[in-house]
Amino acid sequence: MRIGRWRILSHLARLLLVVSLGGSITALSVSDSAHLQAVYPSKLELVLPHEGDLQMLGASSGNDAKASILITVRSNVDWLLRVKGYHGGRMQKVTDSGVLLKNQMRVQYTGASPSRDVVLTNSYKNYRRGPPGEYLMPTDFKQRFAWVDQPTNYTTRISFKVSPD
Amino acid sequence: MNAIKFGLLYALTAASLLSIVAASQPVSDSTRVYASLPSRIEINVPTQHEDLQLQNCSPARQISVTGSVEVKSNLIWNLDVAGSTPSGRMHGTGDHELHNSMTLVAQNPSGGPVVVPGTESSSPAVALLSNIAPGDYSGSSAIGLIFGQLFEWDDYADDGYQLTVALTAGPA
Repeated sequence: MRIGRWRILSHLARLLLVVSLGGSITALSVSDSAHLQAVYPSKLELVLPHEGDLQMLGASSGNDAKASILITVRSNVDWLLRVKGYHGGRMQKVTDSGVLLKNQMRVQYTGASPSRDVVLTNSYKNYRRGPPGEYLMPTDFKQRFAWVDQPTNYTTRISFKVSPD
Repeated sequence: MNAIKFGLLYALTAASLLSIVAASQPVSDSTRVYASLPSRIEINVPTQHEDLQLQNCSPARQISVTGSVEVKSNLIWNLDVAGSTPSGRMHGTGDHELHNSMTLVAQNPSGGPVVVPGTESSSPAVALLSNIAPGDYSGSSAIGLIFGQLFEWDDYADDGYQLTVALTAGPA
């Protein structure tokens, strides 16, 4: 009879132990993580129209001639667009490199809130700047022709450079 | 194991830096622009000098009046003059004409004096100014003119004499 009680108590104790252990196992939480990494480099793009050389319209002594283009800048960093000309910003006679126009060419942003004219020189000058994004910039090239300028064909090259600001 | 992790981390960092440095390089582009400048000449007599009056005309006196003309040109140019009467002399209302021709002098730049020729002259136009380069004026194209007329005792007293002087600017 005493053994019988002992066995009952032993089974009860085991049962309590199993229940208690089982309860503690379900209460534990396990976790793990995945580490993600991405390299997103800064990038700048500059697009000028290349449908051929630009022809200025309205060239006449004592007046301004004009050519319009659309410049595209794409950047994921703050950017600065600069512009420069050649020969001191002056157009030169096509067939004779020694003959230059009297006045320098000017560049103007003509979009919303148009900017003031930028007079072209041999050195880069600030033209536009902005935060990351894609920008379409309508731009006018303006050339004043003086009466002392020879009537002939003139040409020049205009360079733009976009860089992180 | 740690060495492998460290190596991987180092390689990733280096690659990131390299790509950032490479992409941050400025981007540039250029375009060519052409313009054709045509030849052009303009001439204009200011309104206040379109009708000039010779004052205090009297026998044996040379009477002058000042006028002007504006010329703009991007070519080398000449300024020619011609009178409106067959002789180039002033013609009166009573079918009289003066015995002396009108003379014309340019002040700035200096040119002349030239005798104003008539429409029947062998050379109806005379060059008052010749081979003026576009840059000779430094931007100013106003040319002072002095019209001179000599009256003699044998000129008939008339109610009025008149002559129209045509000023023509053309390529040299």
